[in-house]
Amino acid sequence: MKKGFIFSIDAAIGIAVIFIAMSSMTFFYLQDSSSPKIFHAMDQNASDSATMGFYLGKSPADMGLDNSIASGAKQGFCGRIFDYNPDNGPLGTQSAPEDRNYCDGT
Amino acid sequence: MNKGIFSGIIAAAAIMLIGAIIITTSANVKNSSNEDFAGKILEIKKEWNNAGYLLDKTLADKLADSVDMTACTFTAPAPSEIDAYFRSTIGNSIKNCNFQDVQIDSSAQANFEIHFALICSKKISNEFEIKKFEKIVAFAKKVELIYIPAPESCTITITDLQSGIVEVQKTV
Repeated sequence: MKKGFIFSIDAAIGIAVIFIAMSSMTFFYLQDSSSPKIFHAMDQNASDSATMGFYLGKSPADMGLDNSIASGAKQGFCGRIFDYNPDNGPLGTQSAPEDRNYCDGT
Repeated sequence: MNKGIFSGIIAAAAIMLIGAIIITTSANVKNSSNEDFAGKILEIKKEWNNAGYLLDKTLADKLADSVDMTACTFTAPAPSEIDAYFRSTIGNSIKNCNFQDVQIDSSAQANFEIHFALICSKKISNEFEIKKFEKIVAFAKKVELIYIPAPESCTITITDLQSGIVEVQKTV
C-alpha cells in the first residue's frame, strides 16, 4: 500500500460529503417557494375579505372577488361566512342561515 | 503536520454543514407550523363571532315567532324552544360550534334577556389536537306590539338593546 493512500481516500470522501451537503443546501434555498406563499396569500385574502365584506355589507364583487371559484381556475380559495335575516319568511316559521362565499382564484 | 489532520478538518466541516442543514430545515418546519397554528386559532375566533351573530338574529326570529298575531300578544318562549331554534341554525351553518345552558335572565316583553355559553372548536396540526374557544354570550331584546283596532292590525318590532338595531318589523 502506498504511503498516504488512506489520507487520500479519506479526503476524497470528505470532499464528496461537503459537495453533497452544499448541493443539498443550494437546492433547498433555490427551490421555488413562491407557490405555497401565493396559496397562503389567496387563502388569507379570501378569509379576510369574507369577514370585512360581511360586516361592511359588501358583496364579493365589491371586494374584488367572486362568489365561486371560476371553472377554469387552476387554484382558488373561498372565505365562507353565514348571514341570518330574521325578517325573511313568514311569522311562525324559522328563517334559515344563508352562506356567502368570497372566492379568490387564478 | 500530522497525517490525517486535513481529513479531520474536512470531516468537521462536513458535520457542521449537515448540522446547519438540519437546523435550518427544522426552523422552517417549525415556522410554517406556527403560521398554521395561528391561522387556525384566528379561524376559530372568526367562526365564534359568526356563530354569535347568527344566534343573536335567531333569537330575534324566535321572539317574533312567539307573537300571536291574531290576538297581538307576546308569550315569552321557554329555554327549550330557544334551544331548538339555536340548534337548527347551528346545524345548518357552523357545525363546529355549539352552545350550552341557555338561560333566560328576564322574560318581560319590554326587556327579554338570555345568556349561554358558546363554544367553537377545531382540529389543529394533527387529528388529536383540538383547540376550543369558549365564552359566555348575553343577548338583550325589546319586543314592542302595537295593536290598531280599525282597520285591525298588529305591528311587531324587535329591537336589539345592545346595538339599537331594529331586527324585525312586521305588520299583519
